[in-house]
Amino acid sequence: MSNNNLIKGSLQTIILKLLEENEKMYGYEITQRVKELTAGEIKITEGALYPALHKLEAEGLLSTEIQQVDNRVRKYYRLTKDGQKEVTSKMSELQGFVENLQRILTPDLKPGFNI
Amino acid sequence: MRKLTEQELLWIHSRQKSLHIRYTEVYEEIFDHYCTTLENSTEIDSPSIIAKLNDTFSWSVVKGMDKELEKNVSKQIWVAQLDFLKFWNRGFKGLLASIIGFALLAIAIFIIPASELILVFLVIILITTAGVFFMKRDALSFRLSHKTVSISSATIIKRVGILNTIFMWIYVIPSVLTRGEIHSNTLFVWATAIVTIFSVMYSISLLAIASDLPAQRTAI
Repeated sequence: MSNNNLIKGSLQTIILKLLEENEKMYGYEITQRVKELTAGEIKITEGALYPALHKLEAEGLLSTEIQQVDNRVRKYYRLTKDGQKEVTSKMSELQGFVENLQRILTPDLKPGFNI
Repeated sequence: MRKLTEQELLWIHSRQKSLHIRYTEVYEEIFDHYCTTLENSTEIDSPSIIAKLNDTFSWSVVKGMDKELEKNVSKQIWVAQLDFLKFWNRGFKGLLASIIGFALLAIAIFIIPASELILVFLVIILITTAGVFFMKRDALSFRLSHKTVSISSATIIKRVGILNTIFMWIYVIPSVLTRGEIHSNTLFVWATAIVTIFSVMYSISLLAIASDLPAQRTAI
C-alpha cells in the first residue's frame, strides 16, 4: 500500500506520539515501531524521518542524547517539556482532521453534516 | 541480534564514503541505521539488505538530510546567539559580566575617537575569530580528500567567515582604496562604528557558543 503522501503530513505527530509513549527512541527503532503497530501497512521512509527528527529538535520539541553502542554512536531522541505540550495539541489537531475526513468520505455516517 | 562481520562494516563505510556526506552527525546516524538493520537480520540476507538500504539512503536523500540538518542547526545557533545576548537572563555572574562589558564599551566610546575605536573593535573581532577557529578547528580541513565535519562547528566557522568578509568590504577595502581618507568622513565613521558594535556582539556570542559546544557533537 503506497501511502507515503498521506503519512507525510502526520509524520511529526506520529514521532511525538511514539516518544510520548516511549521515553527515548532512535531512528531505526521508530521505523520498526510504526511497522509493528500497523502490521507493516505504514512504512516510514528514512529520508523523511531523519529530517523530521532534526526539525523537531531545532524547534525545541525534542532533545537528544548520544550513546556509545558497539563502537558506534547512537542518537536517542526524547520529548522536551515543550514537546510534551505539543503532543496533545498535535493529536487533537490530527484527530479532528481524521473525523472531518471521515465525514467527507462517508457522509451517511453523519447525516446532519453539511459541507 | 548478531555481530556484524568486517566485510559488512567495510561495505557500509565504503558506501557512505562514496556519498560524500558532509556532516558527521548525518554520517553517524545513517551508519547506526545500517548496522542496526543488519544486526537484526541474517548474514545470508545482508547483500540484499545493504542494496535496499543503499536505495533508501540514495545520493539525493543524503544530500537532503545534510541540507535539512544545516537549516535546522543554523536556526538553533541563531536562537542560542540571541539567548546569549539576553544578558538579563544569565544569572548574577552573567549580569555582572554584561554590566562591566557595557561600562567598558561606554568608556571606550567616550575616550577613544570613533575612527580609532573601530580599529579597537576590529582587533576584538579578529581575536574572537581566532578563538572560534581554534575551538572549532575540527571543521577545518586542508586535505584534498573528503572529510565529514561537525555541523555546529561548520556553521559557526561559516558565520565567522561571513562576518569577517563583511567587515573587509565595509571597512578595510574602502580604507585601503581611499588611503585612509574615508576616515575623515563622519557619516562613514559613525555608520562603521554602529556596524562594528553589532559585529563585536555577534562574534562574542559565536565565541561563547563555540566554547559551550563539545568539539564533535551537534547537541546545543
